Amino acid sequence: MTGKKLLKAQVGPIDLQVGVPQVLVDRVQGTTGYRLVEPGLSRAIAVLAGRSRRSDTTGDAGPPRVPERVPQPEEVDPGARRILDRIAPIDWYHSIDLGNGVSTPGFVDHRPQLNLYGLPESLEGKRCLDVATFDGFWAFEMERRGAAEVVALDIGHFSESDIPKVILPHAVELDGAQPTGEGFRTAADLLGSKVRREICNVYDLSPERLGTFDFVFVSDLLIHLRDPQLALERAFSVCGDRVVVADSFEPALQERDPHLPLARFTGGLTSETWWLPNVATLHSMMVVAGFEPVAEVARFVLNAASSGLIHKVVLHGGVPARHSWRDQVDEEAARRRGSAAVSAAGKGA
Amino acid sequence: MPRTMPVTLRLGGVEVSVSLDRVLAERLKGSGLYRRLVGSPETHPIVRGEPALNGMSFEDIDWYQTIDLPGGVVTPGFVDHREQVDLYGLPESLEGKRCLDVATFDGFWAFEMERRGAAEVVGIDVHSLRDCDIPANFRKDYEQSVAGNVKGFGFAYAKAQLGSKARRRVLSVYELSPATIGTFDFVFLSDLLIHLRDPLRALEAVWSVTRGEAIIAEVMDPELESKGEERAMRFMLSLDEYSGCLWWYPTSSAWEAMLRLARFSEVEEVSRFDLATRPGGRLPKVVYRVRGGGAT
Repeated sequence: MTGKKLLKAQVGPIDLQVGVPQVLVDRVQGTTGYRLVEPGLSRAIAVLAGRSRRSDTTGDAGPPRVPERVPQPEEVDPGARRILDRIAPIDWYHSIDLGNGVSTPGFVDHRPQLNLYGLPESLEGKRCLDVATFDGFWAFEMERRGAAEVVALDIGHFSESDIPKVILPHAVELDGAQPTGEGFRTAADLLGSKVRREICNVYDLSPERLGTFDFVFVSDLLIHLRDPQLALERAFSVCGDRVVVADSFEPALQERDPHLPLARFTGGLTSETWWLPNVATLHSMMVVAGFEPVAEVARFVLNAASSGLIHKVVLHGGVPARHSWRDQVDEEAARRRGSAAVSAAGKGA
Repeated sequence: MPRTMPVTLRLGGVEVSVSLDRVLAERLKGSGLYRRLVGSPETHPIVRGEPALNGMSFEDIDWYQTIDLPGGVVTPGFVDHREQVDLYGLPESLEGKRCLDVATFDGFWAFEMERRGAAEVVGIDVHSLRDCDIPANFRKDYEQSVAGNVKGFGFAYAKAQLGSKARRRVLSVYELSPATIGTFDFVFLSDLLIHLRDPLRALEAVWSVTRGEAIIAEVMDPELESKGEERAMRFMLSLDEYSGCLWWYPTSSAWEAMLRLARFSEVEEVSRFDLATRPGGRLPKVVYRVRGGGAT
């Protein structure tokens, strides 16, 4: 969720810098909700909406839409044209290969950087979870690697994300009734994917709700949460074996002291980013959540159409074979069932 | 053996490493003080927000705040605010005001507000250390270590000695809302937010019940502050049997940003000073006066 436009607005006595997602800017154009919003904000959005991110990167004037980039019909085979027609109305976050030489024009293209995440070559037989799936790039990738089952998590509406209370009324108005997932559904359909998309906030994740997973993937999410530690605790609660946590870090705080867990409070008003941690903070939070061992896999600049550099780190976390807290819970449950399953709960100790 | 905390805590120049293992828990449980503090519902039922003392004496209480009691008795608190009260910028008179003390502990600030003429003072606190923000992963071990560590004996004792009318209510800061507790003319919150996993949610809740002014006083990270790191915060994570968990040490600019984001207006810095703690510790604090948004 990094394709954002900055705008300044005044809400009550507070001057705000608001990052409006490009997805939203595009979506609200022409909606009645758009015309109803607070005039200052809508004017600012109108100004921003006139400049698409593609014009930012190419220097072109005007807002080129996907259809304008479609090659002439005679150049394109019918299969490709059919796909292009399907993807044209959607503002894509992920670049996804859909076959016939067609990819979605995403804000972020993970494809050239896929190897940096250290995903297992094969996920055969594994139950996998993609937290905050958006258009589903990572969920489809896990499926491609042979996962037995992939569950892709997302919120139902943009307004259900952690939005500062101070701008929440505007966000709710802007969001309207438009649900998320159009990109995911379109891509899943075209790919013939069996990935199951679940509307569930990461904060509500629990073994009771969705069971446990062999492999959990959490990327580009934590900095957009007001309570990232709770999200990691919830991810841990459903993680049976391995987690990948990949997120932005702040280079300046990294240089301040690479061993000191530091973060910068950015307050959710810019690019929906609440915090920018350094690597030590992400590492510490994972350890506190229960993951062990935690190891850094890679650092790189994200391949995204962002105006600024997005520095990213990938961390892998394990789940201890015998985990005192978890085993205690298991033992308690066993006791409650009146069974002698205690020894089973302690297996692998 | 339950796991120990892998994180050390730095207070000023002092590094403290706290581990919660079974040895510590057992030692705690073996002490007479522990048994008296255990405060089982049978021996110390909570009556109108306060645990019944039922024979607990001054010496039995693990005092957090230093409070002057009648007859020259002074509670041996971990912190002593008495010489620094003026630095918090409380109104000279709170006459006719409905006042809230968030995380009241032994009640020092609640009694201070009452002394300034408040018409009504409510101090809220959690029931026990088990109700603090503890990482899920450590909760089980932590709860064993602090089993039954009920809060509020100090408040109940001091209130009785002082003949105070301040009322204690068992309520988490996160649960503050006009519906749960009404709104207040004046709200005081000090030394709490650093113990919360989600300080912003707490501030939003405080805002919702503040119809007038609030004083928010918190510890800031001295090192980051001196380096001028804008809106920086240090992930502290440390558990203790006194205050639950220490989560974040922000700089003053981060506190200010959070206050504004929680919708407090007229954010004004009142003072900065070092809070003296026993034994010989110093915690750099910053105090803000803000205006809330609770309906009148």
